[in-house]
Amino acid sequence: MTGPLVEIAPGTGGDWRAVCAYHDLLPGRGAAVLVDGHQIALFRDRGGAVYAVGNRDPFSGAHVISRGILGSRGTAPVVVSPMYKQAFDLRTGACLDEPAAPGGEPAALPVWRVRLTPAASACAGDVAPPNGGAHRPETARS
Amino acid sequence: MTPRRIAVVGAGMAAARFAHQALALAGPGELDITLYGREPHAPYNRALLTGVLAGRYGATALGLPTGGAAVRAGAEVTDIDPAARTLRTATGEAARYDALVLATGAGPLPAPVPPPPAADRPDADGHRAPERHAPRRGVHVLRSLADAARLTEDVPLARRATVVGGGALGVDAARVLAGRGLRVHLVHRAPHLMDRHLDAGAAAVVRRGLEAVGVTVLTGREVTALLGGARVTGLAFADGGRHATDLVVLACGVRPRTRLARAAGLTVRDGVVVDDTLATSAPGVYAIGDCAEHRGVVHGRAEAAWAQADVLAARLSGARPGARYAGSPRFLRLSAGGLQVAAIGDSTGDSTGGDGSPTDTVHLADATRGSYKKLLLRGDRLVGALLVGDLTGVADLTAVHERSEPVPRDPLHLLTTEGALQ
Amino acid sequence: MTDTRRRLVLAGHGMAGQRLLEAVTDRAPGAWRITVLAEEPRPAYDRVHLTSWFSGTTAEDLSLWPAGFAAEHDIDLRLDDPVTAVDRAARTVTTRSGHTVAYDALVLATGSRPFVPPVPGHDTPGCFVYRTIEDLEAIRDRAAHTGVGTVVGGGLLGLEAAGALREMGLHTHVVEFAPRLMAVQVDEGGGAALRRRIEELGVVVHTGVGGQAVGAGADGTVDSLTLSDGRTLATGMVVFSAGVRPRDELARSCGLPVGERGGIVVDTRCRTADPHIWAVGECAQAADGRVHGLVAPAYAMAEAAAEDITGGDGAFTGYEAATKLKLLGVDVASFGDAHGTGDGALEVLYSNTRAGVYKKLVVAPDGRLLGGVLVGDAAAYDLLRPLAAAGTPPATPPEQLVLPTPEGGAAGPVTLPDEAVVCSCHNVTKGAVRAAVSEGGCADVAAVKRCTRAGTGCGSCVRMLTTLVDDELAAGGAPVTKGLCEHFAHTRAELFEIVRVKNVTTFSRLIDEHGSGGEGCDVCKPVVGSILATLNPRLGNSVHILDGEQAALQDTNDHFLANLQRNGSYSVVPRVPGGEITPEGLITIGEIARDFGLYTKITGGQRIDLFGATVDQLPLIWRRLVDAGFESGHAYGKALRTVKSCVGQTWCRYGVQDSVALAIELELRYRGLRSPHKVKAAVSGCARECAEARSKDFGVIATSAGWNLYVGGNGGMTPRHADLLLTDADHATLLRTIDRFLMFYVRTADRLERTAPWIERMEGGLEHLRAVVVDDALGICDELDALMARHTETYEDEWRATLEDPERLRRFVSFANAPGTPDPTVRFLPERGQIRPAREHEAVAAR
Repeated sequence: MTGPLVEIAPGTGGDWRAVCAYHDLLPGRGAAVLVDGHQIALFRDRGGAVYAVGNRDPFSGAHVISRGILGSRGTAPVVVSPMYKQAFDLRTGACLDEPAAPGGEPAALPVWRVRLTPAASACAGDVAPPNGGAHRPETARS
Repeated sequence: MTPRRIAVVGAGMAAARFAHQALALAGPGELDITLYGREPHAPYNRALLTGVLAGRYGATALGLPTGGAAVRAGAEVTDIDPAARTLRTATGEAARYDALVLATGAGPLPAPVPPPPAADRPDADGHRAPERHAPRRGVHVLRSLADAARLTEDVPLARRATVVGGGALGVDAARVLAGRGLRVHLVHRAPHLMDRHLDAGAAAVVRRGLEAVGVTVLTGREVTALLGGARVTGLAFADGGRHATDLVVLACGVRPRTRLARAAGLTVRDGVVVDDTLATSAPGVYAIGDCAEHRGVVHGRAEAAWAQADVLAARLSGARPGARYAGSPRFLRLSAGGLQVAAIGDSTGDSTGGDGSPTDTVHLADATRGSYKKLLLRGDRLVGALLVGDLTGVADLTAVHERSEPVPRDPLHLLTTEGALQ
Repeated sequence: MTDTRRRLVLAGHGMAGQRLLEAVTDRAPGAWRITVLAEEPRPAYDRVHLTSWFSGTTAEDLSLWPAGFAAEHDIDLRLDDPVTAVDRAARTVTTRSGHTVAYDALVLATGSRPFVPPVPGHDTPGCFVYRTIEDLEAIRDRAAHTGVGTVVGGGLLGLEAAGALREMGLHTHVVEFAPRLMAVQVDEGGGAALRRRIEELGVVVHTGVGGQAVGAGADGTVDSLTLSDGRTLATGMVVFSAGVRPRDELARSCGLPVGERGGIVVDTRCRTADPHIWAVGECAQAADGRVHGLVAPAYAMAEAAAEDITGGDGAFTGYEAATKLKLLGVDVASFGDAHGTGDGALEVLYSNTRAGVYKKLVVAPDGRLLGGVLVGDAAAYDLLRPLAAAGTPPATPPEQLVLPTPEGGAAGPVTLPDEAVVCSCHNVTKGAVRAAVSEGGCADVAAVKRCTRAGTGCGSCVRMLTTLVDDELAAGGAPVTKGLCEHFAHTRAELFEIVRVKNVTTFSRLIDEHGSGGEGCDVCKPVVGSILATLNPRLGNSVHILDGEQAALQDTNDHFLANLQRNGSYSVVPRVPGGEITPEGLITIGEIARDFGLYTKITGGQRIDLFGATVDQLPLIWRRLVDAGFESGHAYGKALRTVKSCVGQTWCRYGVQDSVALAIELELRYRGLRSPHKVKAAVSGCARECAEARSKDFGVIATSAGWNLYVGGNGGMTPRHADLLLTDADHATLLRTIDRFLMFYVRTADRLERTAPWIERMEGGLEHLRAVVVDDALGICDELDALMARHTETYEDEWRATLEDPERLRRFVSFANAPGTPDPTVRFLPERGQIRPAREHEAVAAR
C-alpha cells in the first residue's frame, strides 16, 4: 500500500492498529473494518477528515452504518443510517433525530480514536486530524 | 315459381314488422303475405296510444309499414287447421297457407280481480258473456285505437278519473288524463309503483313526478269491485275503503291471446310455446310477439316482438335459414312527459345470480333534480340498470348489458360525466 | 390573611369538568378557590380517544391535566373521592370519605354511566363496560385468556370496542338490537355500507337481536352469550356498550329537577334550578331538551357555565350533532339533520356497495344543505359540515358533492366563508384561523393549534387546517421553503435545468457553485446523483456514473446495486421483462438460490426476488445470473421497475392485442431510466385489465383499434387511478408519448415525487400534461426525445459492468481490512422450508 495508513486505537490506552490505506476510503463514503471482533465504520469526508464510529445501527441492530451517506447538518458532520435514515454526529456518535433506540438503549454510536500514519512514501500535508478537528483541505485528490 | 304463401294471424306491431322484413329480405315474387287483423285498422304502433289520448298524435300518425303485404282489416281468424294448412275468418273467408304466423298479441286483463271461475273465464280478447259482466259506462281499457277513441269521448263527461294499475301504462295514462284537466287518482296494489321494474327509491321519484302534475297516488290498495249502475260511480277496496270516481281506466296488465292456438291443439302455457326458431308444436305454424312464450318467458315488449319478427322473417324468407332467437333482455323505456324511465335487465335486483355471487349496486340519486340512477353488478358484469329522470348513458348501458361486456371495477363513468367537487 | 376568594367546587373531573376549570381560571384567574372532587383514581383524560390506549397510547398521553396546573391555579384535586350528597341549604357537599366542602358555586360534571342491560349473568366475571382506563385494563387482561369477544351494542362506542378486541386478536362479534349499526348517526343505507365493510374485516355482526343471557363456564367466568333469537354465541368476554345514562343521582337526591329520560335540567347558561349550582356535559339536559353525548357540546356547555360563573354572558342553546370518526378502519361521518326529518327534505345520494361507500346529503327544497351521512369515504366532510351549518345553498349542484372524492384531493376550504366553523370541537371559524396566521404571527399548523386550540379535539379538521394555513401563508407572501434541503435552495426541477444548461458534471461543483458548499446530505446527494446519471451517463470522460465521486452520492441500494434488508443482508432481483420467463430461466434462478442458500419470493412486479445475500456474495450471484443471460432488475433504484403484463391475445380468449410483446418492449426500452421516484407500468390486453394498468405510473390497455395510455396512477400508500391520456393510439404514437411523458417527469418533478402527485401539482393538471407531451405546447418535445434517445443508446447492465471492473468489485467486501470475511452478525434461521433473518436476540445457528 502506498500513501498514509489509517490506524484505530480500540479502547483507551490500547495500541494503534493499522486497518487500511487512506486511499481505500472514497471521499464521502464509508468502509467497515473488523478489529478484535468489533465492527467499525470508517468515513472520509470531502475535506479529507477521517472518522471512526461503531458499525451497528442501534435502531435495527444491523451492522450497516458504514454504508450510509455522509452529510452535514448545520455544522455537524453526520452519517445517515441506510436503514431508517437517522443521522449520527460523527464527532460524538450522538443521534440527532431521536434520543433513544427502541428497547431503551441510548441512540449513540461508539466513537473510536483514529489517526493517519504516513507510510514511508507519504507526503506532508496529507495528514488528517483525528475525529473532526479543524483540518486543512487536501492538496491532492485521489 | 309460385310464391310461398304466408298467413299472419293478427295485424299488430309484430305482424307488420314480420311482413315488412320478410318481404324486404325475399326476392321479388317469392313470398305472398297476408295479414288478418281483428281491428278495423291497418297496423299501428300500439305503444304510442297514450299519445293519442293526450292529443299529441292523430290516429293516422301511428301507422306502421307492412312492406306491401295484403292486410285484411276487420277479418278476425276464427279457427285454423294445421294439418290441412287452412284457416277461416269471421267474415267467412277461407284460405290455404304454406306457413302460418300467429301474432295475436295480448289483451287487457279484466279487473277487478279475483277472476271469475274458469268455466266463465272470458277469453283473452276481453269478450265476455254480455249478461254477466255488462261493462258500465265510464269503465275503459287502453289497448287499441278504438279504446283510445272511446276514452277520448268520455273524458269531457267525467270529473274524477281513476287509473287502476300502476305499471308503465297506468303511470303514463294517469299523467295524460291529469294533463287533460281531470282530477286523477292512480291506484296500485303493490307497495310501490312499477314494482316489476323499479325499486322503492326509483318508484318514489316517479311518484313525486306524478304528484307534481296533480295525480294522487294510492299504493298498497287492492280494488275488489266496481260500483255503480249504468255508469260507474266508484271503487271498493279490499281494506273496506271506497273511492268515488266517474271514469275508470283499467291498466292491470295483459294476457296473451291463445284461444285460437289452444283450439287447434297447439302447446300453450302462459302463451303459445315456441322454440328458438319461433316454431310452435304444429308444423308450419309459428308464433311471435305478445302471444308467444319462448323459454318460459312472454316478453310483452315491442323490442322483443321486433327481434322475434326479424328472426322469423330471416328464416322464412330464406335469407338466413339458420337464424335463431335466443331471447331478449328485459328492457323498459317510458317517456311520459317529464317522466323518463329506463329499466334494463334485472333492474330490481330480485333475481339471484346463478353462481351465487352477491349483487353489488352503484347508485347516484339527486332528488332535487328528480334523478335516480342505479347499476346492478355481479362480478364484472352489468346485470341490470335503472335510470329515472336523467337518462344519460342509457345507450351505453343498454349496449354493455346486451353484449355482456365486462365493466371496470368502478363504473361510475357509466352514470355520470361529472367530476367530483374539488 | 383570610382567604376572600369565593369557593368553586367541581363534582366530577372528566373532559367537561377539566374544560370548565380551564375556562374559569382563564377568565378570572385567582378569583376562585377551587376544589375538584373526582371519582376515578386519575385526573381528567381524553375519553374520546380511549381506544388508542390499546395501540400503545399511555394513560399519561391521554391525560388532560397539565403538569403544574394545580399549583398555578391553586386547585385542590382530590382523586377517588366523589361527592355523595349535596346540601343546598348549607351550600356544602359531602364526599365518600366523609369530608364536607363548602361552596359558593357548585358545578356538577358527573358524566354518565354505561348502561348494562339487566340480563341474567351480566355481572359474571368476564363481562365489562367500556368507559374508563380501568375498564380497558381489565378487558386487556381478559383478552389474554380467550379467543372470542362479543360487544353488546353496535353504536359508536360499541364499534370502537369491537375494533379494540379485534386488534388484540380476538374473533369478534357485535350484537345490536336496532336493525342496523350506528342507528343514531347513520341511516339504513349508511348502516348497510358500514356493516359490509366491518364484516369484510372478519367481525361478525348481528342486528335486530339483543343479548338475553350470559352463560358461565366451569370456572365461573363468561363462556357464552344467548341472543334473543335463541342462538348462543361461544364467547369468553362480553363488553356492554349499549348506551349511557346520565349520572344525575346527586341532583335527584337534593331535589333538583331532572329530565324525563334523565339528565339534570339546565337553562341556556347551564344553571340548574338552584342559582348556585350549574351542570355541564353528559349529566345535564341542556336548554334544547337534549342530553348531549359528544365532547364538543360538553365543552360548549362548560364554556357557557364558566362565563356565567365569572360574571359574563355565555349561552349554550344547542348543538347540531356532527361526528367524523374511523371505526374499524372505516370512515363514518354524519352531520346536521342526517335523517331528513325536515319538511320537504330531499335526498341526494351516491352509494357503491362493492366499495362500501355510502354518501347521502339531505337538502331543503330551497337548496340549502341540511345534513348528511358519509360512510366509507368521508373526505368531503370537512367541506360539507360547515356548508350545512352556514345555512346558504352551496354553489355546486348537490349531486357533485356526493361523487367520490378523487384521490389526494381533499375538500376545498377556499369555498368556505370566513364565518364557517372549521373546528367544531372548539368552535373555531375559518376567519379565526386565517387571522392567527396573518395577524397572530402563527407560521405553521402547530402554532395555530396552540393559538386557537383548533385541531386539538378530535383531530378531524387538521387536514383542512393545513390547507388553510398554507394558503394564508402564501397569500401573505411568507416564504414557503421549497428548496431541496439545507444545502440547496433550488428545487429538484431547478437543479435539473442548471445541470443540463451549465453542463455540470460533478456534485462538488454543483454544491460549491449553486449550493451552500459543505458535505451535502442524504437528501441532496442521491437527487444530484440521479440527475447526473440522466444527463451525463458517460460524464464525458467515459467514467461510469457510479464511479469516482459519483459513487459517494448513492444511497446504499444504488451503491451496491441490491436492496438492503433489515439484518444488513441484501436481496437480488434479476430483470424479467414483461413477466415472461423461460423454463430454463426459472431453473437457473432456482439453482442459484439453492446454491447460495437464498430465500426466494415472487414479487408484485411479476419477477423473483432472492434474499439473504451478504455484500461479498453479490458479485458471485451476479456472475451466475449474467452468464445465464439475466441482468439487473433495478429493484433498488429510483428508476423504472417493471412493466407488468397479462398474457394477452396470444393465449387469452379475450385479449385483443399482444400485451406481452409490448410490455417486454417497453421494459427493455426504459430499463435503467433514473427518475425522481420509482416508476411502475403495466400493459393489459383488454378492458378486463388483468395487469392492473390503471394503478401504474403509466399503464397501457389494449383496444380493438390500438392502445389506450393512462398516466399518473399509483399503488402503495396513497393509491390513485391513472387518467386517460391517449385513445386508440398506434404503436409509434404510444411509444413516443410515453418517452416524452417519462422525460418530462424526470425533468420537472420534485425529489421523491410519484407521478400522481406530480400531475396533481401541475398547473393545469392532466390537460396541461397532454398539451405538453402530445401537442408539444411548450416546444420541448425534441429535447425530451433526445434525452430518451441518449438513455436507450447508452444503457448497459450495471451488474455486468461491475463484474468487468476490478476496481468496483473491491468495494463488495464486508470489511476493508478482512476481504475474505463476511459479516458474522448476518445470520439466518429456517422457516417454511427456507431461511429468514435471525433477530439479534435469537439463538443463532451458523448458516
